[in-house]
Amino acid sequence: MSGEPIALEAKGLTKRYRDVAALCECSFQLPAHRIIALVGANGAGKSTLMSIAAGLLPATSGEILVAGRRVDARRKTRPAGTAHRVAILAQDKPLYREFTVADMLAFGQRTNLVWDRRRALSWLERFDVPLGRRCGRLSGGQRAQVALAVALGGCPGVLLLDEPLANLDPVARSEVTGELIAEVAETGMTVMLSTHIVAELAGVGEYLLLLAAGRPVLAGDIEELVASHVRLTGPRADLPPCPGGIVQAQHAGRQSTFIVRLRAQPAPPMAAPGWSSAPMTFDELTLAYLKSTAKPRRALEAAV
Amino acid sequence: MSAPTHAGQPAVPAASRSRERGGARLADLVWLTWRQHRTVIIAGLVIATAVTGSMLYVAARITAINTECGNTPCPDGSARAGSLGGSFGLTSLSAYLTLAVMLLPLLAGMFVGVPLLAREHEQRTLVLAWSQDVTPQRWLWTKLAVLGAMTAAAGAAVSAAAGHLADVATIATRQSLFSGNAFLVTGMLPLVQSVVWLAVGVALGAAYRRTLPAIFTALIGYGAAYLLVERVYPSFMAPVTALAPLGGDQGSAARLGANSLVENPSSTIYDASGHPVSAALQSLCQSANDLPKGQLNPCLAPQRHLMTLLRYQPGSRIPDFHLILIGGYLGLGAIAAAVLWWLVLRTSLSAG
Repeated sequence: MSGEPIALEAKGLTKRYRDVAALCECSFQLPAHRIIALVGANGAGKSTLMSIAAGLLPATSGEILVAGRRVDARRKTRPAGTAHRVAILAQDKPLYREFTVADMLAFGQRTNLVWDRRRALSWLERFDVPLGRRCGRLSGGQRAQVALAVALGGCPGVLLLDEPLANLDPVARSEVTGELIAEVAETGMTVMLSTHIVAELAGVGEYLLLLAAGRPVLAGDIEELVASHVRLTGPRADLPPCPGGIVQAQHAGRQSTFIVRLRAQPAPPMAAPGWSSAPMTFDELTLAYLKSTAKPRRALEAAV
Repeated sequence: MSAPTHAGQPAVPAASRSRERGGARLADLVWLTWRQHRTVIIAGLVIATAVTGSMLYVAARITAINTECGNTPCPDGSARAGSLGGSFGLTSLSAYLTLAVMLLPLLAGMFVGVPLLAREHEQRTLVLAWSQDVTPQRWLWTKLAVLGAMTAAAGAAVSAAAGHLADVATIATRQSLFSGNAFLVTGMLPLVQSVVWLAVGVALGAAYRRTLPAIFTALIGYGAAYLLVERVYPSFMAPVTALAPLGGDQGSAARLGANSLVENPSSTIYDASGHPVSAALQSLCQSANDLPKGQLNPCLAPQRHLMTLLRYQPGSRIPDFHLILIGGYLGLGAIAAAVLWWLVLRTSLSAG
């Protein structure tokens, strides 16, 4: 990520709810102008991270910076500069039920220092959302579109979407992700999209931040990450036949399977006798990391 | 290898986009408050107008009758006295309207104050509202100011009408403006109470984050405050004492001044010079209360000149008592506002 502009940076970010740590000493940098996939199991700290980045929730310690500017949880003021502006779409896509869609756009315009009405309207037009209908009478998918339109109208530099595709049917999901990619390309904003359903991210995410038990366990360009991991299968062994970090090891009978993060790229040809190497998909990769982090967590929970 | 830099401007020049100047000005927040709360604002104004109009109408009718009777109580049994009395007479209507006025501050707290934050928490729209450019503090105080101004305007009209009605009704009923509900709805108290209970309602909504428990607590709190005030206000100042002949119209306006508030007479009996009479006479007079009907109480014989000690609050103290009560309510309002400020500052929201 060297040389790339940074949209979000966390420095020792910790959030505790009484004795439970939702985020532990998180430090990472996320690139600007890209779609970032924030992946983690339920309770991994995804919503907490987004809430802190949006200024809705104070961190217990550490800090988070948006385009180099520290996020103030008390939000005494909010910057008008595009790069520092953060918009968030909460998981349940809250809207004022008694407002019409047009009222929601007026709400967005009247509560933001900067507003792009054409951008918000164009988003709604793309999805055929009627402006005169009350939000309480919209379908789940339409509600999500209205919430997205309000968020986009505010011209954010960073758009945080917490499980944005949850209420959408497969066709709508594909359309929304396609339009989001187009928005990023057109405006240069950064989108962070959280989910625990990895399949939702196929072809959407460019950069991955994988959280487990409140800690970042994997971060990087998705293409590079996929290229740097292989699945090795061969005779039973305690270690894989090539150097690298073991993400997952499975042993069944006389056979062992390792998922390894290679130190050298591109992956060297497999020279060890009896071993075969297979590339990994993004889904398999994230699943492997989620599984590898779930085991220690379950063990810890059982011990407690 | 160059070091990462923080994102500055977006990739596409701003000129290529149709960005407009947004809002976040006072007028914008007033619009938002109106749009969100217009139903309750309109309903509140309709109720206040109806109550005010009814009070002015009843006051006009009573004033006309008072004028016809020479601004003194109309003779018993007269047609004018008939239209004043009875279950649906003008004085009863006046009492019902006074009761309605006493409930208006509670309604302001329950239906305007409580939902302001509680409903936002319940519908999770606070995440939406507080993630825009308007800070939570400005969002809240502007809304409070708009709704408070509406409540104050309605409360002022109701208070003025209630004061006028109480003035004319006490002439017709010979009651004191210092006693009971008449005291509690005059001196612009409904105005102050409405604004204060609005603030209390908002604070309760912020504390509970649920509408129904907050409404229930407001109801209990209002009832408790009413009982406390009714019990305590006669003792705001040390009462004035005076000797009055035993029996007869001890607390008459002619003797104590108009609109005085008389406490229960002392059981001690005094002679004309102001000294307590002998224990034997005290006992005789107290036992005389149990005499059969029709038998003359010997203690009330005029030649005995026996007196009782009256303790009362003169009517001239009504404004002072109102000010003390207003001070108490404003203190309650200040506590509610401070609690609300503290709650808003420590409110944490989550997107998930």
